[in-house]
Amino acid sequence: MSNPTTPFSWQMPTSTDLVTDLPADFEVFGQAVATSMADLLGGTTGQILSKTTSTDMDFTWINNDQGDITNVAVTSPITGGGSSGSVTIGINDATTSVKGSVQLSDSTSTTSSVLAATPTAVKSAYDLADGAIAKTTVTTAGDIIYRNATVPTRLGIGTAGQVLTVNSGATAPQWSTTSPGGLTLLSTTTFNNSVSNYTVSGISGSYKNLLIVGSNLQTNGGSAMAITFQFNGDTGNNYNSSGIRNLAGTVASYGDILGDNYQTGIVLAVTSDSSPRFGNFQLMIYNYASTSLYKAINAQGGCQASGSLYTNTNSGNWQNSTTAITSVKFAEALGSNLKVGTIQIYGVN
Amino acid sequence: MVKTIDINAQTGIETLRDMTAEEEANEKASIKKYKDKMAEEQTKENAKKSTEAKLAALGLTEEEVASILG
Repeated sequence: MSNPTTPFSWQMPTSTDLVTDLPADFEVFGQAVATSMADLLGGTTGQILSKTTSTDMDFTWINNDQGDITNVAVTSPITGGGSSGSVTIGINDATTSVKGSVQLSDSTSTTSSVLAATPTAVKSAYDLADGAIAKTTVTTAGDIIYRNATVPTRLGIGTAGQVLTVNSGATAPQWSTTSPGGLTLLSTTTFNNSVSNYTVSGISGSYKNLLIVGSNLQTNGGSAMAITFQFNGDTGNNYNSSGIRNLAGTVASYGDILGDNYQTGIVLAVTSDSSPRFGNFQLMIYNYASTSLYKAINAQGGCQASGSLYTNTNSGNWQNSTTAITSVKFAEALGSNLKVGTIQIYGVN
Repeated sequence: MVKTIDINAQTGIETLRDMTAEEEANEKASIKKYKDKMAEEQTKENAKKSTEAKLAALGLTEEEVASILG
């Protein structure tokens, strides 16, 4: 009859063994226990047993750092940490100078510098950018943008003097070279009864002719007088004019040869006249900006003054030189103050 | 001193100032010429009317006077 064994295969004495057999049986038993427990010998404080193989009782002492966290070391923006007890960790909020946790936002209008855009916000911004006109559409100073049939399109700057027009198909703008006519107001002088003469200087030479229009004029003199003109400060006897006029019912022709101003012969109403009576005139200077021609002049005007009708039409020129006219002096012929009214100077093309 | 007003057409700025002596002299000369011219014209007109009256006194009709004097 064989001896019984334990689950560890340690052979034990049988209940019927003779006493003389027990020492040997216990020796066998003890040796078996010692052999199977051999792996439990050794080790150091804190070490734990680890299965070496799948064989029963096959262990190895190892350090207790397998599988578990033994220490939580943190660096900014993570806070907390530790190597024992309950370990707590956190994270600092991010700023523009410190990394950390951020809050997401769908906003596309916030000015926050601590929120982070979500894909929703990014898409909104992208959609707007995708629908915008590309900056690269324009390339050159003066470029303008218009829409053709489908997309925004560049129209390069035109050349000097060109104007923007619509093309013949009425589908797009275009720069066009034109020869515009009409008047450009260069100066307006309003009389205020303070002086008898004015000088307008700095007249642009960009036009073909110069038109001077006087309207609603009255002098402060005691009798009806005329307005005279001088150009570029020329006080020499270089002006002539001749014409025909009606002076209160007396119609006569006249001629001024080389006077020291341009005699318009245009009569102005006077202070004593009732308010509805004003003198008006227009005076055209042809080729005023020319540097090769004398300046031809036409003038017409009239008024009802002192109860009588005065009209005048004349022509003449300024033949001092071929200098372009850049300034015009107009004065009341007898030195009376120009009381009310307006003189406007136009460039004519 | 005679005042004058300068106007800059580029800026629109008006400046009231005294005329220079030369400008004032020119202004007065120009006014005098104009007065003299008017007086001359008035003298001619008066002479014409006097002639018309004398011719009428001699028995000429208005048409005959006009044909002479134009």
